[in-house]
Amino acid sequence: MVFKAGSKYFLYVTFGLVALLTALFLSGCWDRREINELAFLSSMAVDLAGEQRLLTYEFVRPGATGGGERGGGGTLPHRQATLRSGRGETLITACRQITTGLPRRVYLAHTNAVLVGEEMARQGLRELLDFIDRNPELRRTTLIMLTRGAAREILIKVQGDMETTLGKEISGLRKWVQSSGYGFIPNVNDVFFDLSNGAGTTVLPVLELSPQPFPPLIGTAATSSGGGSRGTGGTEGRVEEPETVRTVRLNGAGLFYHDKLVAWLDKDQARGWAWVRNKVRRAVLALRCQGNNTKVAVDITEAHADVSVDMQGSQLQGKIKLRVEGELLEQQCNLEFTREEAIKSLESRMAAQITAEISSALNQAKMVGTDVFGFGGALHRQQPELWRQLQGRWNEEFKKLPVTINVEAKLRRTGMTGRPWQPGAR
Amino acid sequence: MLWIWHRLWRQATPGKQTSNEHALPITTRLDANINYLKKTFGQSEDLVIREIELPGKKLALVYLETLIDRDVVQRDILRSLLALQAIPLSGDEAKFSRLIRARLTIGDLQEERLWSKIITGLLDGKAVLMVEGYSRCLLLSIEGWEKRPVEEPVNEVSIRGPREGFAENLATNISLIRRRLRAPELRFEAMNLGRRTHTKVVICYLEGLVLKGILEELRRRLQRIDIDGILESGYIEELIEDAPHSPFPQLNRTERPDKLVADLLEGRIAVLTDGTPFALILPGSLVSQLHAPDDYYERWPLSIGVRLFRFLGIFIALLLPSLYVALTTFHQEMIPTPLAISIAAQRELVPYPAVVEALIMQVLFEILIEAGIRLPRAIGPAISIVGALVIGEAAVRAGLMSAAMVIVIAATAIASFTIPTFGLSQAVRMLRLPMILLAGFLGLLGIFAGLLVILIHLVSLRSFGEPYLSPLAPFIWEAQKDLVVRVPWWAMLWRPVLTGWRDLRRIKPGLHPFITARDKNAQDELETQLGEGKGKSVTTRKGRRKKTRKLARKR
Repeated sequence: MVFKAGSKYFLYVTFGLVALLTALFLSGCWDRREINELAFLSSMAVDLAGEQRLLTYEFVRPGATGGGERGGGGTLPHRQATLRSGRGETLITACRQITTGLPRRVYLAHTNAVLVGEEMARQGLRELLDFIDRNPELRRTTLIMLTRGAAREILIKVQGDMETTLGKEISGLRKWVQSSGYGFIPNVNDVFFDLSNGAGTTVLPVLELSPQPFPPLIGTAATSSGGGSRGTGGTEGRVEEPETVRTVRLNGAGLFYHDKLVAWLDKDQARGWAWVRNKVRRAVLALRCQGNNTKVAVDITEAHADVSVDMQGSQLQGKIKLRVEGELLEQQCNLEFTREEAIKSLESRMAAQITAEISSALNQAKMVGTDVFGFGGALHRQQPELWRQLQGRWNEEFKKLPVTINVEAKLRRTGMTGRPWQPGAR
Repeated sequence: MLWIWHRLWRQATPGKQTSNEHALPITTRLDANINYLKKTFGQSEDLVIREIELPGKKLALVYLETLIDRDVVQRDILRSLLALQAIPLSGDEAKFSRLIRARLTIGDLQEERLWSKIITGLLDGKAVLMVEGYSRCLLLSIEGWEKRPVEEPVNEVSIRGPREGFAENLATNISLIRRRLRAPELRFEAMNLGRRTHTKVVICYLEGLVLKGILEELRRRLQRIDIDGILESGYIEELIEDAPHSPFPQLNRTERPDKLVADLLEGRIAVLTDGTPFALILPGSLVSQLHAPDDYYERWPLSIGVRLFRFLGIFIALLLPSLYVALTTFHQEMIPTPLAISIAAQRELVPYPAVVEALIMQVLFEILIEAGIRLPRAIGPAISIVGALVIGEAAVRAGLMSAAMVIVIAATAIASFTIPTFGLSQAVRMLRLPMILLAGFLGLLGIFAGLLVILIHLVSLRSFGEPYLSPLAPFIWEAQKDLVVRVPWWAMLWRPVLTGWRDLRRIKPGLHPFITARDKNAQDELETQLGEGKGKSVTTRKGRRKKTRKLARKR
C-alpha cells in the first residue's frame, strides 16, 4: 500500500483523524461523569424559610447500599442516606449552596420524591414546578407530596424501617397505597396536567411521620453471638434504643386552587375524593351490623365513577355516579348473608357510607371553591360554549353547584363460606 | 487442468533455470534419465530408483517412497512386471505401450515425455516407469500416504447432524461431498497453486445451478494467484476476496460436508484446498454465517427461537461492554435507580474510569482466550482456573474491577461464542474494542456513530458480486423465510434469488403434511400452470423474473 501524501489511503486516514479530534475537542456537551462520582438524590424537601427557600436533600450514602457484599443479617436496614441542606433566594441558589459542602456532583435524575412544605405550598407551587420542568435531570415522573408543617422535618426525623431511603419508601408506598383506597401519590406530570386544564386544581396527598412501636430485633442474637466477645446475658443492649421508630404514612390530602394550597382533606375525605377520581383500586368499608354495635367488613374490589354536569332549567346540576362491587370478608355479627334482604341492606349501607365520604370531601372542596372532582372538565366536554363563559368564574360557580351523588353498590361474593360458622354447629 | 499449472509455472519463474530445464522431454537413454532425476532431487532419502531387467529391456521404476503405497508397488507393479518376463518385448513403442497397459494392474496411468510433468507426477505421489529406448515414460498412480481418518468437526459442532468433518486429504474430502451429492451435475475442477508447494485446489459446484459469471470470476482470480506456497485455505481466501481491508470474512468457511453440500444446492461454489480441513464457500454473506446446520435439522419452530438467541448474541457480543460504559459514564439516568446505586457502590473503590476498566478487562480476556487456544492440553485447566480466579474473584476483591464489569465481560464473552463461525466471531471481538473506546469518549452518540460506520461498511461489501448483507440490504421478501425465522421445508419453495435463480424452484408446492383435497386441486392447478420446463417455473412470478433478469444483465 502506498502511504504517502496525496494517496487515497493517506486522505482517508487524515480525514478520519481530523474528524475524531474535532469530535473530541469541539463537541459542546462533554458530560462524561463516572457513576461513582455522583451523589444520587433520593428525595428532597422544599420549604420556605422567611424570604428564603430551604432545600433539604436526601442522598443515597455511597457504598452503604447494594454491592451485594454485606449479607442482610438480622439487623434492620438502617437508613442508608445522608442529608444536606442549603438555603438561598431561589431554589437553584439553595441547590448550589449544597454543592459547596458536597464532595460529589449532585445527580437529580434518580430522585424519587419531592416533599413540599405547608408554607411553600400555601405560597404556591409555581416556582417549584418551573424548577423541575426546566431542569434537564429531574424527571416528570418524580413523585410529589405535601407535608403538614415543614417538609424537612420528615426528611430529618424519619428512620429507616423497610427501605434504605425515604425516596425508596415513598415509591414503594405509591404502588400499594391505592389498594387501601386512602390515597394516591401523583407525579409531577400529573400535577402539571391537573393544573393546566381549565379548572386548574389538584390534590396532593399528605405525608406525615407515624411513630410505630419499635419492633423487636429479630435475629440480632445470632449476629451478636457472632461477635462473640460479650457476655451471654446481653439484656442491656436494648436500653439505649428508642421505643418508637418514626416511619411515614399517608394521611389525608391538600386541596389546591391553581397552584396554591387552600384546604385540607382528612383521611376519609381523601378517600371520598379518590372514589370520584377513580383512584381507588381496592378499599375496605367497616359497616355497622344491623341492631347491635358490631361491624361487618366489605372489601371493595371494583369501583368506577362517572362525573357529569346537567342543565336543569337554568340551573347547572353536577352528577356523580359511582358503581362499586364488594366482597364480604369479615363479620362480627354472625348474620347470614345468603339471604337476599340481608345482602340488599348491606349494599345500601355500603352506598351510604361511600356517599358520606364523597359528600364530606365535596363540601370541603366547595367551601374553598376548588373543583378537584372534575366537574369543570365534564362541562368542558359536554357544553364547551357554556364552559367558555363560565371558565373565568368557575370557582364561584362550583361553590354554588348542587351535586347529586348516586352510588350503586353490589355485594358480589361472601368469601369462601356462605353461612357463618357456629361453635358446635354440626 | 495441468495446463493452468503449466502456464503458471512458466509465468511464475521466468528467469529461473528450472522451468526451462524441465520443459525438455526425456531422452531415450535410461542411464541419462536416471542421472537427470538423481541430479534434480539431489541426495533425497526417499527417492527410490528400482532398476529391473527383463529379457531384452531395461526398465526403471522411480518413486518417492514417502508418498506412495508400498503394497501397491509390490503387489501390482513389481509382480506384473515380473510376469512380463516370459514375453519378449519388441522395439515398437506403440506395441510396447499397449502391452504394458494390458498387463499392469494399475488403475490410472498416463504417458508423458516432458520432464516437468514427470517431476510433478513424482511429487504428487506417482511412480514413473522408464524404459530403455523409449521416448516416453509411464506415470502410475499409486499415491498413498498417512492421513487422518474422517473425524467429527472440531469447530463447528452440531447436536443433530452428521459427525463427519473434512480431513486434510483432498481426495477424502471430495469423496465426502460426492457421497452426499450423487448428482452428475456435480463438478470438480482441480488446479495446482503455489510455485513450490504445488497445492492442489479444487473448485466444486453444481453445473446448471451455479452462476457462470461468479464461476468465471473465481477462475480468473485463482489463476492470477502466483505465490510461493499455499499452506492453508486462508492464503487463497486473502488472495481472492473482494475487500482485503475488511475485518469481516467475505467467504464462508466450513469443515462440515453437509453444510457445504447445502450451499452447493443454493448455487454457491466451494473451494477445497489440499491439506486444509476447511472449505471456502462463495459468494459469502453475513447472514449465512449466522446460520448453523442444526437450524435445518431440528424442529423448525424451535430453530426460530434458537436463531433469535443467536442473532441477539451477536449484538450482545458487539455492544454490551460499550453500552455499559456509555450508560455508566454518560447516561446514568437510563439505568434503573437501584441498579445505578448498586453499580455506583461497586465502583466505589475502583480507581479508574469505566472505559479504562472495560478496556483492561477486555484485553485481559482476549489474552486469556488466545492463551487457551495456544496452550498444550495439559496446562489448559490450570490457566482457566487461574483466569477465573484472577478475573472473577480476586480482581473484584482487590478493588481493581467492579463486579458488574466482570459480569458484563463474561456475558459478552459467552455471547460471542454463539456465533457459529469462528471468523465472524473474531471480527466481532475485535470490533468490540473500538466500540468501547467510542462509548467511553462520546457515550451513546459514539456507539451509534460506530454502528453506523460498521453498517455502511457492511452494506457496501460485496462477495463475488453478491451483496454481503444479501437478503437484508437489498431486501428480498422471499428470502426472509430463511433469515431469522426458518420456515419448514415444505414452505421453502424457492432457492435464494441471488445465487439460485437459474433454477429457482426448490420444492414441489403442496408438500404440507396435512394436505386436503382442496389443497391437492390447487396444487395440481399450479403444477399445470408451471408447465414442465425448469425455465417456466420462473414465469409464475413476474416480479421475480424481472428481478432475476435484471441481475443477469448486471452480471
